[in-house]
Amino acid sequence: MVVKITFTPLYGVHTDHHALAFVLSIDHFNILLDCGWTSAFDPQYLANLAKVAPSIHVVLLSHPDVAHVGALPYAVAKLGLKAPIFSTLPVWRMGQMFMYDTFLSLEAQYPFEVFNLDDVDAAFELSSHPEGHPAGHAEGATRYHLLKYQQLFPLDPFPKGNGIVITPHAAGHMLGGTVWNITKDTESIVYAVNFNHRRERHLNPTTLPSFSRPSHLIVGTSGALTRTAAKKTGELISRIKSVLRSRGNVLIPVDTAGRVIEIAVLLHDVWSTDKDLGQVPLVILHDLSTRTFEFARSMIEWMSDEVVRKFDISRENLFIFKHIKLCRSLKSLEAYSSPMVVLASSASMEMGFARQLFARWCQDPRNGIILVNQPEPDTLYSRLFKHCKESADEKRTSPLSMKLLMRSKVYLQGQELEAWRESERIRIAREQEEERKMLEQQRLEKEAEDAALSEISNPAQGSSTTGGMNQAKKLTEDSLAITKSVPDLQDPEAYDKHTYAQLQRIGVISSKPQVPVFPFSETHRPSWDDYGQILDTTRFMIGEDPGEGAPNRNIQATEVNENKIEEDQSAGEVIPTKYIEEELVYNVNCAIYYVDNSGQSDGDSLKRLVKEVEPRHVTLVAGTEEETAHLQQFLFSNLYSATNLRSAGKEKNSTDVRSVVVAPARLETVEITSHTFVRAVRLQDAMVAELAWSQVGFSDIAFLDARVDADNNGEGQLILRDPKASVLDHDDSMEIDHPQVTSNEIRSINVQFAGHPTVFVGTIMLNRLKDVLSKAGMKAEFAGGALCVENAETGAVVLLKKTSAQQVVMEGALSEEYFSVRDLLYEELVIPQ
Amino acid sequence: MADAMENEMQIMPIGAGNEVGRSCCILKFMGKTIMFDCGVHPAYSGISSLPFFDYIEAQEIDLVLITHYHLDHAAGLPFLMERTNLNPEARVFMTQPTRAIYKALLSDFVRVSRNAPGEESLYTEDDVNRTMSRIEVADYHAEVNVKGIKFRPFYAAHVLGGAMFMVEIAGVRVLYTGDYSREEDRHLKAAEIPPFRPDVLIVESTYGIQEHEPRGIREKRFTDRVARVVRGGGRVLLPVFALGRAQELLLILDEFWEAHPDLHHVPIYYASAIAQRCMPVYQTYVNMMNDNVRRRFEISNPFHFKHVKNIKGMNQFADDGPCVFMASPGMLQNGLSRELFERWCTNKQNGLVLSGYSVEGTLAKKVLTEPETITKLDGRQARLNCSVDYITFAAHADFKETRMFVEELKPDHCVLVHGEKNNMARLKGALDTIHNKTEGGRKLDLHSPLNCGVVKLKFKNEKMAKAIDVLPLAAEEKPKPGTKVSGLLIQQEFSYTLVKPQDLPQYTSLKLSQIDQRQVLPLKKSLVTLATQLNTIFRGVRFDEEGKVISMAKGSVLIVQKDEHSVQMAWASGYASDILTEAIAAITISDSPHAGEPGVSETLKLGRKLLAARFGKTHSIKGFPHKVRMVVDLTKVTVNMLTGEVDCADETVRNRVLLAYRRIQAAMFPIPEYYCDCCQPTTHVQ
Repeated sequence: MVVKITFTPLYGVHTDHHALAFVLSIDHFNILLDCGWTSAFDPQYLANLAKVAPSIHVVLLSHPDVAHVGALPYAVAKLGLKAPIFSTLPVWRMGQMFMYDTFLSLEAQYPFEVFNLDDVDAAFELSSHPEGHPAGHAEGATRYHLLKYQQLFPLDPFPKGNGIVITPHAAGHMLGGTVWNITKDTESIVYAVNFNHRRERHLNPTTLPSFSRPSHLIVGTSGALTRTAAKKTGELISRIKSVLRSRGNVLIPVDTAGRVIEIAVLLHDVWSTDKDLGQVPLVILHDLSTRTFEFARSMIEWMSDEVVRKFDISRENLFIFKHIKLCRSLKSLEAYSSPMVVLASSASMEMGFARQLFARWCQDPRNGIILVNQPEPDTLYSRLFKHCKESADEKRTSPLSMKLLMRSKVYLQGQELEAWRESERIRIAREQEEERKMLEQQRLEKEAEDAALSEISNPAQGSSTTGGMNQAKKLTEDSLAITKSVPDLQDPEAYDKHTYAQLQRIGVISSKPQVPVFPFSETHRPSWDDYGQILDTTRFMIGEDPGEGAPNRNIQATEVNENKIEEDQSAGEVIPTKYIEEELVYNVNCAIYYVDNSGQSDGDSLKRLVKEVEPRHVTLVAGTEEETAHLQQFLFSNLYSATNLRSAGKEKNSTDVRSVVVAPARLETVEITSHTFVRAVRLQDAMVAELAWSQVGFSDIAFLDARVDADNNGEGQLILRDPKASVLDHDDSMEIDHPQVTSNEIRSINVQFAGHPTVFVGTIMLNRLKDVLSKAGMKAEFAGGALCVENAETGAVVLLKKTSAQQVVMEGALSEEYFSVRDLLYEELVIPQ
Repeated sequence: MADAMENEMQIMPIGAGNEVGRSCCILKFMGKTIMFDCGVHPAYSGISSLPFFDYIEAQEIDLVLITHYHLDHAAGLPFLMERTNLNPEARVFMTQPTRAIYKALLSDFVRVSRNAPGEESLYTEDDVNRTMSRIEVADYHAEVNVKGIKFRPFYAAHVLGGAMFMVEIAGVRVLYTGDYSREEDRHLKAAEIPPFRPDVLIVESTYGIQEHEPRGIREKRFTDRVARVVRGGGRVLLPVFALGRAQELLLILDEFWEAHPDLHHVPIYYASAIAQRCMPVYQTYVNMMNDNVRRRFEISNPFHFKHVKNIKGMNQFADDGPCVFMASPGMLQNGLSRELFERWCTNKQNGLVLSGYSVEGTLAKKVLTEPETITKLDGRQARLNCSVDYITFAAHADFKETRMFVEELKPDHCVLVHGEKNNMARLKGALDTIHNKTEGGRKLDLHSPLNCGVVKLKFKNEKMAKAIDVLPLAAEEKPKPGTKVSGLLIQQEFSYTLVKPQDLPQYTSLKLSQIDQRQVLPLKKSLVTLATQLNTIFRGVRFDEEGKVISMAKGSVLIVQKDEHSVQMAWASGYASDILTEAIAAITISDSPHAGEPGVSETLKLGRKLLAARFGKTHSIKGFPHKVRMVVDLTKVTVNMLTGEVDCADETVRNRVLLAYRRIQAAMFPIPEYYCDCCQPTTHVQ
């Protein structure tokens, strides 16, 4: 079967925006790879996604940040993305944190209505079998499924998903970050964006190098132009120290639940060893800081071996921080004295506390801002990043002065509040009036009916309409008065309740549960208190802790407007808010540093990794125009140069080398089908037993000559059997099926099978060969890049040169040495029989 | 590679065969050896508590899989790893929570057995610590491949981190359950039904054909009993093993307390140092528990108990009113639970609730017989007045669960382990009845081996290969029988791939190398002579006179003149080309066929002399060495000495010369047609 594969980037190619979304289609099974958004959250950006969303069959997410999951809630809620979603557990959990934080931060700035918390919850709602039993998925609408690293997950239950298997592998960039492997038959597609080959404090390095010759590699090119650099922990710490020394505050803009974990762990390690720093408050500030780290605590199985080892041996959980304070509001920051170090979201500084703190601190030259991430274009962060780069290059030394649009949600105060209350009072009064009118109307109607009835029964008691009206009004007023004081005496139940409460108050009836007396039923009874059955209110909360999230801001407001609220406590009023916008000019006097801690492979390592993986086909995504072009050029010249292709046996369509490395543009569909015909065949035991195997590494290889046998069990299997074996060896059905198989034919086949091309499996390493030659008693020396074997007595010389990775030239005069060197050379390789 | 023997699978329990304890089962198939679990027997001590390691070759083991941290499943591992000749390449796997608790539990085990009088501990704490660096972790559902052995852990319930292992070797699947339970409880998922069918099921049989009461009833009995005792002002003693089921009981109690505010003033004590050390493991790995825990974790960690107080020992415990006290050991052998029991058993108000399995000979087993008095540790008697209840929370599968499990998995073979002899025999009988003696039952091959008894199972060896691009047809078409197929067959970890030789680097990690050879050969003849020689022996020899290059075998062997006396032969290595070039070399270095003979010119010179002797002075013609001009009888005569043609105007003279030259020619060239192409490519003697 030929597996037809096409790839269409929706966005996130040839751009410096980080948001990614691609469609990979395998035999018309459409897989959406990531579903990111920019920090502008402009629905226009998702136009391409909107077109394809309903036709997507599954969604695979690789990282929990906005660039990879950002558009998910919107797409699920508004674009008709109904497909099941797959990711690792941390991507699910932290992705949710990212989206909550994003919503809360945006909503605190302007009336953000693109999506809401319910949309987030809906997008991240787990399937009933979250850990993925293939059975029972097929009927799932949008349901989230969790996978483990290295878990092979067959998509067979999904329509058209036959034979496709997805497997997440560690990416090493963020907690749960994934390099996806999607396979069907011999096609193995590896999707790797944002990975890290280095071991981090909390994450293992990516397992990308464990792939060997996948048919396709879809790789992110961002960072392709950077050079290998030493670890920058020292630089980060010295920057922090220098700011603190001048009694300034340090602001590090971080993301919600991704890279912030690594930075937190890193700083915490330093804080626990460095006594001076240990005194300085270290704060992580965003709406979900406590939740994030609480969740991180329970995910150590996804973290580095070192973290797990520490936990196994000393029970030290990395995330029970001794030195880090987790804060959720600017107000709680006031509890700590300056100088301090604050890690605040968001990484783009377009929203969240990072922006607010920047506004607060940037004018003071003592303060410092340390940038640790790659900039996203058109954000405050990128402006600072640019400034930082420029001043580092000494292009510009003048302090930065910038206009900044500051938006925030404030609670109404003073006159505005009074005005609102007035209008509210009027509104409520009007509503009450309306309600009363309605009641009255109903009553009147009823009365009219009653009156009609009574008129029938007792026409003597006729009453005028106006009288009825008055009576009705009076009744309503009465009932209103009654509810205020004593329950309606007409209602015995209400009266009982009232009496009971009165008795309780004076102590006649105990409110404590009573000691059971006979007859005592043993059945479980719900417990009651003064207000009825005790309910566990937490049961009714979905997803979010009430202590965090939206109501939190109200609580904060409660604190601020404390005295005012007390007056109106009775009303249980929610103070309204309004959004204000002000454009302010800031003179950025504080220091700005850039210390990379984006946790991504640098350019050199990226190239090395791709070379190591040796994909048969590369698709370049993400990254800027220059980065993409650079990597493409590199791969053309290094990995897929014409000679390499030939020696790798790729002759059939080496005509266009350029088709091997593609970098499609937005909405450009590239077909990356490999045109391979794969068939499952059964091998006859007797034939396999006769093969002369040679061992190469972990595998055995042998030349096989066989003939297609008849399918004698009717299962449609192709059976290969030994062509030399005589017909008599086979069972009867075989003969009946194919009486035409004569010995004549066999002979001709045997003739055709005579001889194989010789293939040399393995790679010649000249220095290893040198040792082998020396052991055999031959004098071998390197001279001018060639290995030179010389017999001092006869003067015979044999030269061995490598012309490419897989090609060796052997040169020499006809001599005994020539043949003995050649024999040893052949022994270095495996020649299958 | 593949002989008939390898299709036999051997399963041999060297512990837990017809017994409970020291679980250890060996699986051999296709030259691979796997050990499932490695525990000790709780009823024995020292060496005799170990599985029968003498019956196996430890250096042959490729893989050790530990299902959970209980001592009867894991405590033999440090001995195996540190005190036997276990294959140093062997890999050891367990799940993360298991590894985290394993260390704490085994260190404790070492300490306890060291303190026991007259006993030598099997290994030291250092041994345990050393094993930690070699134990690898496997996550649920994630596939691990150890040299062709593929395995995946699945949830087994029983305890946190408990796993069943589905092992696949050469397409044959074996599921080893370890201790499992198909019932979901407060914190653990029920054992999963793996998504694919195993061929062999190795299953525990602890409970034989017993059936548990429904969980709800057991739980209610438990909470009611506890509540009734404390409401009556009594104390409840819960003897438990420190880890595993204790956490479940704590969850039940904590939840019950939460729902009953009137009990809030009654404290729940939990006294276990080791459990306290392991609580962070329970608090951490919540993602490996069930949805109930996960949902609660959304709000707060359920293992941060609200009503449970951890205390270190009796000195912190003021015995001043109703309380619930959870203490180890679970069978009242000694220690804290015994001490409390002796103190409380005389009071009618107090209650004892046993929740685990009680072994014969322990006090726990004895109190279940409701004796009048019990013997205290100091030898005195005490009246047993307190209430005694036995409510099991063992988390082992009962008969119903085992039966359903087997029915759903549909294995062909079933091997019973981890069960007391009678229980196992009854289970075997019952399963046999259901499957083999009932009409319509799915046939099941049942075994219940004794320790070191080998179960031999035969498996058909079906070798499937992926043929890539070797079949000469389009995908949809089915190749006709008899179509020849040829290629390189690669066998890796029991899977086969058939490719075209040149495609090898495309589909495997194997590289192909090319070796070009350039051999310099001495040449004792002209290149053209060599070409002629080769042409008489081989087909397809081409000689480029201009470039002085001979190419053979469609250009794959090139012979180039280097200088007057040597040529360079270049070719790409290969069997055929190497043999061919050796033959060519032999021809090249051989002497010229004309060596030792006078050249043609010599012969011609002689001919001229003879002509001169007969006819007088001869003149040579410039440019034509073989032509002679002379004057006979005043007539000009030209003789072509090679063809024997004579040119003369006078017929008589011509005939005379012709006759004479024929004689001379016969002397000069006794064998006609002698010339080779090289000497005179175009002319022939008539």
